[in-house]
Amino acid sequence: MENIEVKIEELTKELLAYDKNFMAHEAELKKIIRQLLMSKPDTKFDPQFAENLRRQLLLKAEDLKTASSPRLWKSWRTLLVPAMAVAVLIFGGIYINNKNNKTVIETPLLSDKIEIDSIGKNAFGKIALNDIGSGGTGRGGGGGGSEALSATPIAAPKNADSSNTQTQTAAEPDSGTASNLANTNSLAMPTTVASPVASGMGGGGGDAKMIAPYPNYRYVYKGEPLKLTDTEVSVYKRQKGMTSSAAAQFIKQLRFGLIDMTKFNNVDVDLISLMEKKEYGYNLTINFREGIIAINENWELWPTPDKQCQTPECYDSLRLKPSDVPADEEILSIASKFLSNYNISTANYGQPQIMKFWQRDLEMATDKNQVYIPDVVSVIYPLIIEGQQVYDESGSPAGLAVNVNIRVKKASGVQELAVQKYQSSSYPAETDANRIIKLAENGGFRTIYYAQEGVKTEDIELGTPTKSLVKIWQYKNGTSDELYIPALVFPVTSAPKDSRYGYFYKTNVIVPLAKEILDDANNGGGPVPLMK
Amino acid sequence: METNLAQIIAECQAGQLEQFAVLYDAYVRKIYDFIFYRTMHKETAEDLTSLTFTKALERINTYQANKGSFSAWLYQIARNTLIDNYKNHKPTAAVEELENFASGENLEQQTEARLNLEKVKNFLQTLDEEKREIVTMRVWDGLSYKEIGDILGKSESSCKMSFLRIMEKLNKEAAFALIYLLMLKIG
Repeated sequence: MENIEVKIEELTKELLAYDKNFMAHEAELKKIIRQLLMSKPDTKFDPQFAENLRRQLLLKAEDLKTASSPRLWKSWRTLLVPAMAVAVLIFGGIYINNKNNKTVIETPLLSDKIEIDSIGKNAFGKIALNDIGSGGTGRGGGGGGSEALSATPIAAPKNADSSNTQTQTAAEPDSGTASNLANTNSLAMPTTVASPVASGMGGGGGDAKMIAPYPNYRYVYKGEPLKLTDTEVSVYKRQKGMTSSAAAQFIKQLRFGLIDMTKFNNVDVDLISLMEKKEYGYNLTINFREGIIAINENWELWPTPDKQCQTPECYDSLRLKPSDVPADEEILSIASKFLSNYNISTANYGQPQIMKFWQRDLEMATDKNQVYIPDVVSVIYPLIIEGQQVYDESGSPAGLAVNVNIRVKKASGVQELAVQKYQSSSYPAETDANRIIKLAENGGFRTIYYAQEGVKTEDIELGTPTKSLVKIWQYKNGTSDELYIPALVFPVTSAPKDSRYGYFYKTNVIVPLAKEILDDANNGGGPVPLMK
Repeated sequence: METNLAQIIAECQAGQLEQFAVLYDAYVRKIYDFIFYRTMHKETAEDLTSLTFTKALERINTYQANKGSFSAWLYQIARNTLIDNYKNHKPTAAVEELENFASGENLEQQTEARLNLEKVKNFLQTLDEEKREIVTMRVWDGLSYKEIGDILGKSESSCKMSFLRIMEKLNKEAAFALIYLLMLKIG
């Protein structure tokens, strides 16, 4: 309404300035303009439509680029034949593309196009099965804080199977999900490049004055009544195993001074690691087995000011201040330009979001200079699969992550750049809305809370959910799979704001719709105690 | 913003078409609304918005900054897309449906407007299409007179004068709120 008043004033003034005769009718004029503005229709703009169209346009842009690139089909014979031979051996199916007079060899290996093969029902077997527990894809970072903060009362798991679950839920109110990935990696996850993004998903910072005990939290659903009609949901499983046996065959022919590669059998190329030997260069790890690429700063060649520090005083003197943080537009621009520069397509991803969890601490802190501001923030481009945005189990968007070093204003790495090749299979869906809401009011599936005695209870309100996908890891037989399960995302619409306890970080509560997952969370994963 | 957009447009024209996403992000809501106000139909607005941006992406190399702003260029594409659509599908909508598009909060106005339907129809016949466009662009789309002029191929002062005269005319007429909805649909 306030905007309408401003607009009325603006339009009226310009009309009066143009024709003074209107002054006699100013009140009537305002009435007309008000009525015109009030009758402005609600355009029913659908952000999902905008997201879908954005992806389509990016795919179209890719097609147009490919179509307009001058290829050297006719003159390929003039290129270096030995290099071609090596490339053919390693990557197969190449073509030559001449951009800016540089020879480029393109390969369909590790494609950026999304592919989804629909297969039969229950095709992945028991999706809830985990050999070693189910950790989330924590975003790392965070952590720290005062001792009082780390004393958040979270119960121990009921059995060994839920050891990672405990870590996940330990992050619930404040302490971040810093240790999730470390735990899961140490157990079975073969991925070595899927490291967490740089900034914390919460937690960290803290002030010894923010004392325990924490209150008990109670989620209360305040949204519209749910109607769940689908009896089945499509579960997606990311396909891996992009190993290049052709590349292995090439390497197998080599006889190094230290070792004779010809003696090895059944060899596949698993990882390739490269480094850029230049100032602010990058390390690149291509994990063929996982179908994932990671880019990190080449530490030795990143001359950030802190590299010269030898004392705590020096580090303190370099601590970033709130005024040092670039505007969001600049951070997004750095990330976008980096991706563009390295031809990393964002066609399969949604609108980028900056993960600045410390911002919330900053807003609440009385002495803002005491809030720790990390050098690196992550820009997440949420993964979109068949129009559905992906979240991690903690309720944060999951997808391509670009780390931006805000001190030197450069992208310092990329995580979760993964081949988007999936199988989809239908599984029975939960249609009991009451059960879903009850789980949401427990803080989501796999959430374990034990209420403390003698502390107050804070309500956290949840709004009407949207349908999305939740990424979960499945551990079987010593290997891990990425599953994307349809889920309801309940937004936290109102959270406690008592600064003594720090900011309540959780923004969404996730409840999967695949019945088996919920049954497992209740049974295999032990009971889900209600928060008080 | 225009400075940044100029850089983005230059990058697009140099072949970095993925940068078109930046332009898209800046304009998708505006263009969608622009089309919706003239079709009053969500699905049609989405289809025509898709068409508009697809055309813009394909023709980005034809945009010349010295001939007008990117904004005006994009709105022109949207307007032409609308005109093409009108040629093929003359829009029809019941008055009762149109009421639902209003922002709410002014039910009284809507009721009053419905009672004045005949008067509205008569009023519509007195306004030409261009005048309706000018008021819509200024009041609902929030475009400046300069942008409106660029889109319609008229001068800024001419657009301002037209708006003024329409206000004078409206001042003498009743049924203001629904008039506009109907102007868009029936006109």
